[in-house]
Amino acid sequence: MRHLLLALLAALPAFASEPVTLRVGFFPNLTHAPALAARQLEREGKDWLAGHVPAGTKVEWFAYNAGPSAVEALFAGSIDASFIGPSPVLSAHVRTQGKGIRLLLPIAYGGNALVARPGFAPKGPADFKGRRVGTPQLGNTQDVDARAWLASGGLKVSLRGGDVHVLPMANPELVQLFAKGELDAVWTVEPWVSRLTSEFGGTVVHRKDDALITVLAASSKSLELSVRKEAVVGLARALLALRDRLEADPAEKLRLVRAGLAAELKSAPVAESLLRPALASILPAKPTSDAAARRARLAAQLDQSLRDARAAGILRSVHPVEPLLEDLVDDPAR
Amino acid sequence: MSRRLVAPLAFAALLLAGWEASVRAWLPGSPFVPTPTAILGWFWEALLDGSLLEATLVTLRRLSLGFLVGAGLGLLLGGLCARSRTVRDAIGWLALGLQTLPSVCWVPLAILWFGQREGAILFVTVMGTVWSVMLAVQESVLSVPPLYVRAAQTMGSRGWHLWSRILIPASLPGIVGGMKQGWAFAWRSLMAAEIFVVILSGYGLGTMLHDGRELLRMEQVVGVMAVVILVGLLADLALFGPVERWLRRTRGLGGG
Repeated sequence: MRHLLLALLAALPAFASEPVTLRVGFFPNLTHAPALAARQLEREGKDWLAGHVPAGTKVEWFAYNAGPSAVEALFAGSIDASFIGPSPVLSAHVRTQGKGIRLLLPIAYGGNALVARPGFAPKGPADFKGRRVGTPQLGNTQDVDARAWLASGGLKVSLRGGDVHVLPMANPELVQLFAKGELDAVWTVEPWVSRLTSEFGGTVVHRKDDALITVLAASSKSLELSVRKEAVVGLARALLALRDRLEADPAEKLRLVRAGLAAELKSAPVAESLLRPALASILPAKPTSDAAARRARLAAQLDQSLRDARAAGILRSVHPVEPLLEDLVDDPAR
Repeated sequence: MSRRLVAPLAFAALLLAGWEASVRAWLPGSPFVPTPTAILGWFWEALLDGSLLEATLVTLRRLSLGFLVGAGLGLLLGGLCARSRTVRDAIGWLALGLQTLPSVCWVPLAILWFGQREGAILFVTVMGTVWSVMLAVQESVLSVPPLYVRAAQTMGSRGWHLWSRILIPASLPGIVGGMKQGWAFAWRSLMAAEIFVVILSGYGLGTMLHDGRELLRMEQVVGVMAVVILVGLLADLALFGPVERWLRRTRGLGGG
């Protein structure tokens, strides 16, 4: 009996150091370009994680249409971490009173725009009175931005109507209704913005180039066990290394993202002439050695988004953003 | 009557108290399991800002319209099928097949045909109702004892007279049962359609439930579920209850 117990005890560390499988969410669009590139590298049999995560760590990827579904998956424990926009992260943060979710990395800025259909040329938010505006999902980053921007023009925007109708729906549906003229404008991300302008004659009305658009977030649960946390933080570091590599080699970045997107959407690759400017409009987060300033800047941006979401009626209460940044992974200049 | 109310009320109170206490004890602040007080809070807010009433009215309008059209068509088709073997042979199998098809399967086509508007919702609701009403009407008219029909025909009853005096009264319990089932199917179809389809016109209960999911507001999801149950119960009590009681009374089955 005692031998058996000892044998079991001896086996425990072996269990603990069993390779971790990380489940990671992402959306098949250009604001999640690093995920597309990483997936493409895996398809080509290249190990982009090596040296950053404990040996044997595997990554499984899961695609979502927009943030709220990814948050649902994070909370349900279906995934450990996800590429995601800041708004759903904030609403998850508030809903769990600061306990449920942690932001690991800011990934990208820009890459989103409000596009008006042909024949509709608004000069500002006030011109949207009585119009229909599509967004990718209720409570996602563009949805909150759209509501905040429209409200800044003095329009009353509520979840179920008001002076202007904000209608959340999946990106392919947005394109379909935009093409039919049922939506007067659409606020979405690349490559959909470029498709709306180049294929359906839309014009960009408003851009938010400095807006934080994608982050890497993890559920607090996935950070509880040190083995798993090590893998999650390793994933973040591997993504930083991948970014440095791709920024140094734009041709390779374009190739990987283009092939990755085509594989994700199971369609022919988007034309390079279309993809290049779309990709260029998305700015990857820059490394900085001033960690405190980086954290403060992030906190200020998130706080603004939080207040926008509160004003738009997406959130009923607020919560300090600082706990969200507790596990922020440093991104020193190399 | 009042004594019979004690048991369900006490049970409900116990259930709610246990629910509240266990969530507070084990899952405080959980985004998954709302407490009854949080749900009540949502109710109050949604009642005050008028959104709940508005959504309920939109949904009820869609339901009544869908049910009226679906049940009307079902009555007509069912009657035709019951009296004509040719019609029965021609469309009976189609109805049987389409009745087994959950009407939410019509959603993709409905959107293409009618756009993301009321028409699509109406179509899906009607498709959910018409076949079950039709089959129920057909069955109950067919199961009227042939002796009644022959006796009436011997006495010279024909056409509308035969329908209004013999067939409809004799098959009424079955028809009402079919309508009730049709109502339940219409309600289910409508909810499915509202949850899955983004409708550009009008904001119904299904959309409200969907929004609750998107915003991670489980108190809203559960609250809307409660309203959906309540509407179903009320419809049953107010619409079908009196009819069924009257049916039983006229057939000498007492107050039941």
